[in-house]
Amino acid sequence: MAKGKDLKKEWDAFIQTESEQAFYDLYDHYHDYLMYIGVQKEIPIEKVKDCINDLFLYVFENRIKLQTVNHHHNYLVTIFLRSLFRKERFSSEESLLLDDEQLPDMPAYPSAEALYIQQNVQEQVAQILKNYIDRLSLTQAKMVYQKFYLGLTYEEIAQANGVAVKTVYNTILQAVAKLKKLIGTEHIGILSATSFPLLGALFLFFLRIL
Amino acid sequence: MTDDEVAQFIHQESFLNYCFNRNDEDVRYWEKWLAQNPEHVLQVEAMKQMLILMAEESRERLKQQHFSELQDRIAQSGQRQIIRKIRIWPRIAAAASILVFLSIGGYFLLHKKQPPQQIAQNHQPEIKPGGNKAILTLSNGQVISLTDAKKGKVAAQGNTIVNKTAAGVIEYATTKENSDNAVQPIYNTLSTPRGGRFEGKLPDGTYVILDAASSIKYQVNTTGKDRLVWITGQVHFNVTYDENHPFYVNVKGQVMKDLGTVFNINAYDDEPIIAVTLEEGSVSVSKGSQSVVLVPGEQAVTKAADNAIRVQQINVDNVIAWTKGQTSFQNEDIQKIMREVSRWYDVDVEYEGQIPNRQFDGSISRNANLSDLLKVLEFDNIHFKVNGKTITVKP
Repeated sequence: MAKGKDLKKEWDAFIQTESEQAFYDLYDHYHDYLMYIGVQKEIPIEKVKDCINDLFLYVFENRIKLQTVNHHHNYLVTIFLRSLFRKERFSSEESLLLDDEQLPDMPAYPSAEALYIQQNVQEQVAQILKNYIDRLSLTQAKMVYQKFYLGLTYEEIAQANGVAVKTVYNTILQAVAKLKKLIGTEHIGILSATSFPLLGALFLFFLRIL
Repeated sequence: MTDDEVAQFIHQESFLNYCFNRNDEDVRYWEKWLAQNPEHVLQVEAMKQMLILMAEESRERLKQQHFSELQDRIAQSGQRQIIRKIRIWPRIAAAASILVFLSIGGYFLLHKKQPPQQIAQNHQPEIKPGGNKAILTLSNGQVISLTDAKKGKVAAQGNTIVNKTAAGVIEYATTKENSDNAVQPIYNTLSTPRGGRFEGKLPDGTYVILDAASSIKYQVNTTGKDRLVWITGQVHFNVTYDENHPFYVNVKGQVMKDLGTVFNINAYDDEPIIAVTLEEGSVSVSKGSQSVVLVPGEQAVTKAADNAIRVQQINVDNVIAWTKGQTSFQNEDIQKIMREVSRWYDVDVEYEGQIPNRQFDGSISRNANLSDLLKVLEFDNIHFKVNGKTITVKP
């Protein structure tokens, strides 16, 4: 999985030329990473989201001032953490210190395999799945995201969002079991048959890290 | 097991770690479990795919929503007009057209009422991976193809018989004790072509695995104190330790002395370095007047041009993945990956245009066809043109 530090090119492209695509690419990465950090620090996901958007709004509006920032990753994470813990002192000065703690990387995620599955999933299944996730309650969708995509533990999710571990278990199990029924036994292969043999046995993952 | 029971697996973090490939130990545990419960393989695979799809869809939904909120706030802040709604997932959108095409093919995996339709492949025939191929050159110059040899005796020399086992490995058997030290040394050379690999047990019991385009020359009888072998390419050793007969590997002017060891040597001519990686035990590496002793997890790196030996910590699993049927990379550039591809798939590789200097991590089975491997790399915007046995890499 790409790391924030590797997005220097995108940062420069946004700061220097106001590239919207670069701005989105930064958001695309930091949305997940900061969500992970925030929830792990026991902050509810809604508040984490607000802090992420505060951060990106600030970056968007202060592009010119931020030209002095050299280490965009440290800068973004520091500002985010301050905002998360209500130490609101936004500034364009570069802060190199991430305090004394070393922040964890997100757990591994099989990006290439996921893309492969998405590209080869049967059309009917893709449609069922998209409709289904769109119809999940926001709470359910968020838990599924925190559990499966971010790879947080059941305990971390429960702690951050102020619910019992059992509630997280049940919410996610219900979401999985119901989708399983909707997809039904007829579509159990999920992927189109021609591409199925590639998975599991052969295909682990390849992903770009730089 | 019912689907509901399979769904219960998601309460186990180890199962989720397996599905999302987050932890090697859990992946091994569940692979073992599946090997013992093969009747559940399809159910579990379907569950895994479903969970990955749920992860992706839920992420897309939330991020679209959150980004859209951000766009609204930017618009309200009056700084400027709303920034254009950027199409999220451009790559996946592009893939949608492929998706329709692919899904026309075999409809349901488990419903065999209709045979799956064959999708027209492009005109290139599949390039298959390498396999068990080798030749054995005897001391009299006779060359025996081990690829085609049936199991059983493949050659006899003096007191020694060479057998190919049912598992496709060669072994030496001595009919009589080699007691006469006056006899001339008899050398054999085991070599693999491009697209071949082979395993063998040397006469002293040392077990070797040869990667593609590699060779090892060794003595069949015992005439002196030292056991000497010469190699080219990449060879994995599991040496039978014998205090009285030290084991030396010679490669390109450097010497490895085994001190009871499992190790890997990569010394291909087209690689810029020679890498000796120690898995277990101890080995000393000498070049010119320099000498180092490795501990497990270390790699000694040398270059043809000078006598310096550099020692570094290395992920050993990655280095020896090839011996376990995997192609595995960590922070490797595309050129290094393609050199291995060229040897294993017996193809030539050319480059066109400015290839971005990126590094790759990952792993794929060595049983995969070349097109599968290239497809995987193409996810990362490296492109390939296959023409016969020539692959052109393009940005």
